[in-house]
Parts: sequence; structure tokens; C-alpha cells
Amino acid sequence: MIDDRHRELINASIDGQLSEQEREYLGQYLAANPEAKVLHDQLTELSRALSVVSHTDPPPQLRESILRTVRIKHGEQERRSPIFRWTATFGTRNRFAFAYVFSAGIILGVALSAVIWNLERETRFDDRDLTGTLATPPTRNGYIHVERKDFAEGIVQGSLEIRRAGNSILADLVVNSAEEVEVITQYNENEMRLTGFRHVQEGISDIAVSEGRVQFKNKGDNQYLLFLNDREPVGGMLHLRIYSATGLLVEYRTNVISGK
Amino acid sequence: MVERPDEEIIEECLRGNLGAFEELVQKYEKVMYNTALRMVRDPEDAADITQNAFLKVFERLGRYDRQHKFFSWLYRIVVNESLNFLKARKVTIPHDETIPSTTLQPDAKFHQTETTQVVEEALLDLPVEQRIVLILRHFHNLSYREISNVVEVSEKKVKSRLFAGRQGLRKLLTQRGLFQI
Repeated sequence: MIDDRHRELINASIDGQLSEQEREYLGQYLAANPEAKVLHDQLTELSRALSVVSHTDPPPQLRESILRTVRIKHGEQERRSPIFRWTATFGTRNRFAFAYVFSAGIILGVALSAVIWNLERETRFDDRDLTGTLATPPTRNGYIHVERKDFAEGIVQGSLEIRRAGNSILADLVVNSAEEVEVITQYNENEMRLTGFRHVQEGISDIAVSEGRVQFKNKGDNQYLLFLNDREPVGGMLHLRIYSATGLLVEYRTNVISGK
Repeated sequence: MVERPDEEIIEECLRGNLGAFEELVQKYEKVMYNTALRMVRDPEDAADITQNAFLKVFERLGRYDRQHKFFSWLYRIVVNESLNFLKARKVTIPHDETIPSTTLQPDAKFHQTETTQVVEEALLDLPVEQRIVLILRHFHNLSYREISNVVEVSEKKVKSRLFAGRQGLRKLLTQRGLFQI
């Protein structure tokens, strides 16, 4: 039986964290305790195996993709407010120096919000929670092409085109299958929300819209339009999968902002 | 080329210099990506996680507490992003069913590749909290204190997770034929 103290010493020895004195003591302890010696040897062997594992190079396009997203974010922050750079230093300076400015800002903000809220209430219809046929029908007008992916696998062929207008995203999906296939589109609810789903032709079934997911069965040649809005100003991932009775046929992931 | 200290680069980022942020990406992209990769295994998912993590770094740089080391803060962000990813997808990560033969080929490179693959697969079968500490200790060489800062638990907890993780991993690698019983 190895007690906690010696177990800790053995671990520290594996991590090279022992003092000269502790190392000497552990050596004596291991010589007198075969069970502890076995544990020590096993952990040393494991440590050696782990040291063989080397770092992998990231995909070559990753850095550019990160920087592109950051540039978009940076541009939005700059546009949003000229005091952004100033506020970005909060937390690195004396916070009390900002107390008066904050108080004034809060009072001004509350007053302005009340005015704007009253104006907005009279003029705007809030359709944020509506999806499907109940929603105010979104249209494809004004969307700019971002990227397109064509696919042809087994019994299914078609395309997924991403278009964008401001913070609205349109996923235009065409699916042509001789037999019934199951189509699943997924997105992160924290990144985007669904504002509308339309199918241009008839002939689909089992439509299920749930959190972060639109799922349906397709047979024949059909077109589907998914309207999404960014929750975060930089969009997020959209994940498309198409299954036949025998298994996964198509899988495609895209970052709707970077077009990756 | 001599790398500039993080503090200096961060100052420039906060003044709105995107070129400075590019320097941070260049400096830490590989470690961030590899941390995510060991957590989720899939290279595409790891790339997405890395991208999201850097975006969070950009957004929150003004709130970074300089009492802590910058790289610990980065690790914390990428580890949290990986955990959120695993939670959101409730991922059961697929890996090859083939268990490698106990007789490994003598070629050193092949041996290294095979060992890496077996270790990576076995790691995924460990509880996630043990997996994190093993990754940070063995692949990124973080000290107990640094790991404790990243995962926000006591050093004592880090040590006990490391021990349990090592025991568990050794068992898994023995089952996969990498070690003799």
C-alpha cells in the first residue's frame, strides 16, 4: 500500500519537481518498497511515451481565417463607437477615474433608451421569435453572394449557397435525390438564430425545427431557404449533413462570415 | 528574430494596432491549436475552436488581468472553448477500432506515429478534467501552479487529477498493447 505522501513524491519525481534531498529520500523508499517501485517505473514509462507525441502544425489557412474574422470585428467596433479604444483600456487603469463618466453615461443612457423605446414601439414589429410559415416572410432581395458549395454523392446532388445582407444570412440549399434522404442543418444557437425557413417546391416531409437545428426529409428536386441572423456580429458555423438509408452522404461545414 | 514580450504587444493591440494582434496569433496559434486538437481530436473542429478562442482574446484583451501570465489566460480561453464545444455537441469522438499490434515495427518514425495515434485515442477515453491536466502538463510543460490557474482549481486538485489521469491512461495504453501488464 502506498500512502498519499509517497504517491505525491512519486508523481513529483515524474514531473521533475523534487529537491535533491527529496530525490535521495525517494530513492531509498523505492529500494525498500517494490510496489512503489513498480508504480514509479510504470509512470516513468508513461511519461516517456507521452514525450514522443509532438505538436501538429495548424492548417495553413487558419491564421488568415482568424485575422480576417478579427479584422471584421475590429471594423465593427471602430464603427460602433469612437470611444471604443478608450473603453478597451478599462481594467488596466484606475477604475475610480471612470466613476463620474460611468454615472453620467448611465443616466444619459436610461433617458435615451426610454425615448427610443417609445419611438420603436410605435413603428416596429418584433418578429424575433417567429419562424417558419408564421414569420414575416423574408425575401432573398438584397443578399450578396458569399460562397457556394456544390455536392454530388451517390443518390444526392445539389448545392449550398451562403448569402449575406448586414447581419442576416441566407442559406440557399438545393437538394435533388432520387430516393428519400434526410437533411440536417445545424448551427450554434449562441451564434445565430433562425428567423425563417421556406421551401420553394413541395415534396418534403417530417420537418423538425428545434434549437440550433432544421431537419427534414427530401425526395426529388427541391430548394430550401434558411434565414438566419447573427447573434454575435461575426456569425458562426453552419453544418450540413445529408443521410440516405445506408448512411452519411454529404457533410459540409462553413463559417458563414469567413467563407472558410 | 527576437520575440517581443507579450506585455509590449498587448499594449499595442489595445491601442488598436491589428499588426500587433497578428503577432500574438503567430506566437500562440500552434499551442492553442494543439491544445484544442488534443481535446477534441478532429482537426477541423480544433481549427474552429482556435479561431473562436482568438476572437474572444481580441474582444476581452482589455479585461486581461496582468497579475496572471498571458499564456495562462490564453490556455484558459482555449480550454473553455474546447469544453463548451464538447458540451454543446455532446461529442462521442469516433476513433479507429483497430488496436495496434504489440509487436511494433522497428522503424523509429513509424513507431513515433503509431505511439502518437494510440496515445491520442486513449486520451479521449479519459474523463475530460483528467485529460486537460495531462495535456497541459505533458504536451505544454505547464507547472502545477500554471495548470491550477488555467483550470481554476487548487494545486492539490491538479496533482490528484494528474495522478488519476496517469493511472487511467496507463491502463488504457496497456489495453491497447503499448505497454506490457
